[in-house]
Amino acid sequence: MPRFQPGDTVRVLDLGKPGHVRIPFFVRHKTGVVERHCGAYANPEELGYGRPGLPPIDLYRVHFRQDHLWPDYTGPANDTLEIEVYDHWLAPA
Amino acid sequence: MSEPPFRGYHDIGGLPGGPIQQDEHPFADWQKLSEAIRGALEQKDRCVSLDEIRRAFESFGEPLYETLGFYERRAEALTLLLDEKGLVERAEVLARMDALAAGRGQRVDHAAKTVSAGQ
Repeated sequence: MPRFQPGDTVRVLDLGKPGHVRIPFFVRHKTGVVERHCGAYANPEELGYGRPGLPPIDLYRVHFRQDHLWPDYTGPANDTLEIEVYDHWLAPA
Repeated sequence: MSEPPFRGYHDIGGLPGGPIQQDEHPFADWQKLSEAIRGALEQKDRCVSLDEIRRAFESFGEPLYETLGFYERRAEALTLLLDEKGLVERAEVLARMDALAAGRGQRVDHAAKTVSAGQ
């Protein structure tokens, strides 16, 4: 059972994790909304070091308001950016 | 808001990127070949995964990362990973490069990563 459902508000954590991570710097600490659950997959942050990355981790597509990501954003207020984020980078918001 | 302690040099989303080169550059044979080898190694029991390729070029160090083009990064990462896994030693790859270059009357400077007309 995935921890988050479509419509849930989530915050991206900063795990301070060195090495190979699957989260872009620009979304850390940002708040977004879960758009869908994309399935569960072996953790690519483990696969990158040749480890199995199991058990699988839930992956979500999350959307963020562009004007929330970029302080100088001048486009429409309802513009969003969608990105896939693994469960361990998210917290309820 | 605290500044995250770690931002990889490859993680450039939102940073000024400079001008975009819009000229077409056709694929070179070595680019197709190295990508085919990479794909084959991934298909074969995930001997080398794309996740590992990414991890490898995130660990090159910024100077080398910035020097290499996309397919050069992948070829360099593949060399590094095959050596790491004990499948093909880096020295073997470099020796083969030297032999191929010599056959063309060229010389490879591995430190400078250049190929020149050699003696």
